[in-house]
Amino acid sequence: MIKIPLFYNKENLRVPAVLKLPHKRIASDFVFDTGSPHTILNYTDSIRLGIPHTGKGELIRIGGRTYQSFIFNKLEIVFKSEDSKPISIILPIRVLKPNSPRVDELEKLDAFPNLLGLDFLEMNYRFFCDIQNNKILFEKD
Amino acid sequence: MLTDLELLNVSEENLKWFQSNSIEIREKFTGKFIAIKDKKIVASANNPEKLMSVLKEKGIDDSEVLIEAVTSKDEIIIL
Repeated sequence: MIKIPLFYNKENLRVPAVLKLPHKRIASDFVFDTGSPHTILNYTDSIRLGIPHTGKGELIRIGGRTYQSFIFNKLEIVFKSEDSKPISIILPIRVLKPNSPRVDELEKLDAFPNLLGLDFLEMNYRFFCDIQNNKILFEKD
Repeated sequence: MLTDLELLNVSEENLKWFQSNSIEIREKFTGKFIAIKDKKIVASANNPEKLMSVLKEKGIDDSEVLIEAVTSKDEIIIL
């Protein structure tokens, strides 16, 4: 059984991760968002990873605003299991990109966290959440 | 070079530190982007691009830091 712990701080549920491409690897984290059907990489981490913003994709509405995005299939996401083993997945993610190069547009986009969406649970992971006892985890047989 | 597991440990430690010290961090860094390494804030800036430049100037590898946007305690993010 694979178990991946999440951390709660009275604001959101977060899970640490390493994001990997063949040429670059970064430490990061995701906010788990059951309201998002897709996993979304924020603008900041896409810059850190050197992902070019050239792809065409969907419009994504977050917090009442609509943003451009594109699908990126090559990102490897590594989580840490409860027994300290790296758990690697490759999941098509949506990368946020600015609607325009305006500074205020970029500032709004910059502040979004990475979102781990329901597509992750569709990879046969179950979500267990007992906030009172601080036992929050993903698990998979 | 750190292994994936070592980098995950770094990420987890820095995330836990950020979460448990968010009140103090907000007092000093609201509206800023911060880079956390070894449970310390090693750089801050008004946007991620500037933060990357500061890290580069300081000779800090950006791949091993946790970067967070610090929001105000009065600002609740609903996604």
